[in-house]
Amino acid sequence: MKNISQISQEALGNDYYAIHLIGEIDINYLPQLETTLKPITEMAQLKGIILDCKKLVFIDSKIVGFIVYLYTKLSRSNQKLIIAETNETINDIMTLVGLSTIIQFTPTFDEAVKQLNVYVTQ
Amino acid sequence: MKFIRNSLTNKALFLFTILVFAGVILGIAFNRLQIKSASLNLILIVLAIILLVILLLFIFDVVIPVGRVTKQITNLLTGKNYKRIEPITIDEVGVITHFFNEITRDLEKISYDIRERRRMSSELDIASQIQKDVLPKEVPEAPALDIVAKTRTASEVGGDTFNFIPSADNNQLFIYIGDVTGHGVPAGLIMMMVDTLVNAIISRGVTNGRELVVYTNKLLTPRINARLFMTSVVLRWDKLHQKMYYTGAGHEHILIYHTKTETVDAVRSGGIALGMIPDVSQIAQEKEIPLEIGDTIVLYSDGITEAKNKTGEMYGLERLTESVRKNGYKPSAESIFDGVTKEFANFVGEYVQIDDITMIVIRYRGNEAGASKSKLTISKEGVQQERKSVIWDWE
Repeated sequence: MKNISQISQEALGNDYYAIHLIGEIDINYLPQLETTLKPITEMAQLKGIILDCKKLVFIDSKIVGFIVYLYTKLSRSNQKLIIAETNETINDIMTLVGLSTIIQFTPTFDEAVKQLNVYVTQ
Repeated sequence: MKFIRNSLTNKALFLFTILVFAGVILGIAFNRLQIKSASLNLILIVLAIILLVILLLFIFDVVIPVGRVTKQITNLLTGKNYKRIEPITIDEVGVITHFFNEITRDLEKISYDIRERRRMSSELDIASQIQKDVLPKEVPEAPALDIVAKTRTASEVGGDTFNFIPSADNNQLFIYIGDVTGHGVPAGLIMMMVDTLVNAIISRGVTNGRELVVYTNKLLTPRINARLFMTSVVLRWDKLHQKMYYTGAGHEHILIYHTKTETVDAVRSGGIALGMIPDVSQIAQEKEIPLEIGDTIVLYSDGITEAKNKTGEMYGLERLTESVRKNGYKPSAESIFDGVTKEFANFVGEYVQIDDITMIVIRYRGNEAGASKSKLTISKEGVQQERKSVIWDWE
């Protein structure tokens, strides 16, 4: 069965957002990902973003590159990026290039929200 | 008046009507005034003047505009210089003139695009050639190793690279494979940059792969876009002690075929891709790969594991590992390479190549009798058409 790929956003309070990545997100979805994230990253009050990967099946190196760019951009403004609930394949792709050494990963989405709450209240 | 001006037929009808009307008026006038003695000459002169006026109108309104546009069309068709014409009528001749102007404008645009495409294609060919020239022509001396390395770009310029560079004291041989995010010209430019940096850093006297990765990353990161990075594995062959070491920079697994057990280990290369963060000194590590005679190391880029067949299924690490296991017993790096790439080509069938692919097979042969200088083969095909796996067969 063919995976239906989708990118959606969810506001988790005023300070942080979740981006839900579903299916196979490759270079073809990069413009949509950029469009979704641009207004969010430009918000002055933004404290952090969670990339929800629970239903993510595949990403290619262009998307990994974009995640690195997003991490760099958020870090410069003291904002946090958390990658939540990656399956084994996604985890392999991300850890292989070394993303796990610079970006925080959490096993569940709730854990990511908890981590961001802690970060926001700090 | 517009009714008359916008059609040649209407014009002809109009002029014919004038002629008939003039004849009728003249007839009525002669009859009413009872000018019986009016000479035939007078009638003919008046009619001749009217005809002349009609003829002049016809010449200026039809013949001259048609002549102007016909001349320019003939010039265009015979390859001579032509120029666009300002339409002076709005009838069929005006429409033809406008059409001629539009068509020549489009032709000039198409012609410009073709010239530009040719120029870009020629520049891409040059870039492709420069990139091929950067790839090593032969492996520096390392008699204990049997090496085959090949790369195929998905477009004219690729983002995969590899090289074999001896250390300044010639006691070590650095072997690296690199894969820049994406492919095409941006990836190719970074590949060239990294290759230059790696060569320069080794020539300055680094003693291990970790230093090489740390320095390359330090120089590369501020020079590239934050979205671009290069994954890499650096192998260091200690010629004196015949030991192999690796330093990962976020690259694919290193496959190691153990000849004794006929098994393959897929070792995570570790580290972080070059260009992601400014300092990787706390992350990069050099580790040893214990080798016995007959063992083989396979390095590859993700263009192989992420290649799909016509049903959209990826080749994947598991198939590649199994393929190395099946072919690892073969007596030379070349035969192992051939076996692995044949299985890969069979899997992907005619699916179009969308990413650069590179593979290096290094077989440790120790001081086997007859061991000669390491062999290096680099694919050289140009890329002007969609890559299909039937021509991926690297034989």
